[in-house]
Amino acid sequence: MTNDSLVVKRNPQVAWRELDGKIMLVTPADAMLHLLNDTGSFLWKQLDAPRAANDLAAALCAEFEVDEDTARGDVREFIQEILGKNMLERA
Amino acid sequence: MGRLYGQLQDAARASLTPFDTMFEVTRRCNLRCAHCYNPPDRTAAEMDTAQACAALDKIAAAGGFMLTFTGGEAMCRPDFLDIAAHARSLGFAVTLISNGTLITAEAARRMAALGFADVGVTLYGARPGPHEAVTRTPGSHEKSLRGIQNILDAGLHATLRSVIMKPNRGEHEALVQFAADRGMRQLIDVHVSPRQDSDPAPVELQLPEEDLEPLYADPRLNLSFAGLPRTGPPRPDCDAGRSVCAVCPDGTVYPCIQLPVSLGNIVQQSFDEIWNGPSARDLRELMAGPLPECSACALGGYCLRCSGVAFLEGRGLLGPSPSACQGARVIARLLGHGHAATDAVKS
Ligand code: SF4
Repeated sequence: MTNDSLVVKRNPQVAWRELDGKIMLVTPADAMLHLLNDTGSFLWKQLDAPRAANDLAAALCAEFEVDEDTARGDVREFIQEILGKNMLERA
Repeated sequence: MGRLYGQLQDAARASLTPFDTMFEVTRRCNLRCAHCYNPPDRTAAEMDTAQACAALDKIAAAGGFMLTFTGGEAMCRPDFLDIAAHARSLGFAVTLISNGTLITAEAARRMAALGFADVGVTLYGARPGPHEAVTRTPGSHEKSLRGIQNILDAGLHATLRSVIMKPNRGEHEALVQFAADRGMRQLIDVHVSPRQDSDPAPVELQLPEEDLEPLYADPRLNLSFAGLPRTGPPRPDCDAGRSVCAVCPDGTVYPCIQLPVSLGNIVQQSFDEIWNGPSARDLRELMAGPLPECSACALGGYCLRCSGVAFLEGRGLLGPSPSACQGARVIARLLGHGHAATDAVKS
C-alpha cells in the first residue's frame, strides 16, 4: 500500500520522452516500451524533482478539477503501478 | 515492443518526429564479415566526440527517442561510451548492436550503469566453425562469447542477433538453444541486402529459396508474417524519413540505414534544415507511390517489400525487390496459397 507521505523520484536509468503530450518510457531491465495515460503523463512531468505522494495529488487536483480523494487514489494507483515496474524509486 | 511500438511509430510518423534513429559511430571494425553491408573502405571520416554529441543534441531536440548505436564496430571507438553516456543524459533509450568482441566486463558494467535498454550481439554460430566462416576472423567466436558473458553478468538486457546464410547453414537450431540457455532475446534473419554501395556480393551468400521455407515455417525464428495476406500490394511509404532516420559516421543523414540517400549533414546543418529540406520533401513525395510494377502483382498481399532494399537491389525506390518477391513466394506457399506464387512466376 502506498503511503501519502511517500516521496518518490524518477529512476534515472529509465529512458523517456514526450510524444503528443504523452510520456513514453523504456525500462532497461527488460527493454520494454511503455506509454503513460494522460494522468500518468501529467504526474511524470511533475517529478522533475523528488515529490511526496500528497504533493502530486494536490497538483492533480489543481490541473484536472477532481476532488482530493479521487486525486489521492489516482496518485496511489500510479505510484504503486510504476514503482512495481521500476520506473520510480523511493527517494 | 510490438503493438505499442507500432502505435508510437504511427504517431511519430504523422508529426514527422524522428522517433527511431540508427547512429553509426564508425565504419572501423575488427571483423571481416562476408555479408557486411558497409562498403569495404573502413577509413570513412568520423565526427569527433563533440560533433557526435552535438548531433545527438539536435536529434533529441527534434523528439528522437529510440537510439541504436551501430557501425562498423562501435566499440572500436575509444570514446564510444562517452558518446553513449551523453545520449543517456539526453533521455534516449539506447541500444547497441555489436560483435561483442571488445565488450570487457568493465565496459559492460558501464553500459548497465548508464541504463542501456539492450545490447545486441551478432553471433553466426554456437560453434566457432560456422561463426568464423562468416566473420572470416579466427578467434572471433571465443571473443564474442566472452563479450556476451560480460553483458549477461552485468545484468544487461541482451539480444542474440544472427543471420543464417550459406556459410552457417543449419546453425539456427544451435543458436536458438544458445539464446534460450542464457535467457537472451533472439533475432534471426535470413535475408541479405546488397552493400550500401550497391555491390551485390553479399546477396550471393543468401540461402536458396527452397532452404528458406523451413526457416520461415519455424515459429522460433521470428520470421513472422502475422497479418499476411493483406489486401493489395505493400505500400512504398514506410517510416523511412518520417519517423525513422540514420546518421553516418561523418554526420550524413539518411532516411533509414537501409536507404543510403543523403538528406544532408548534421554537423553542418540544423536537424530542421535536413528533415524539412528539399531532399527529404522530395523523397517523401516520391515514396507516396504508387508502386507501378507491384500494383498488379498476385503476390502483393504476401509481400514484405522494403523500398530501401529495392533501391539497393538496383530496382529504384518504387521497383519490385527480388528478395521480397522471394520471401512472398515462400510465405504464399506456407499459407497454402501456392497458386499465387505460381501465377506470379508465370506473369
Ligand atoms: S512480390 Fe515482388 S513484385 Fe510483388 S509486390 Fe512484392 S516486391 Fe512487388
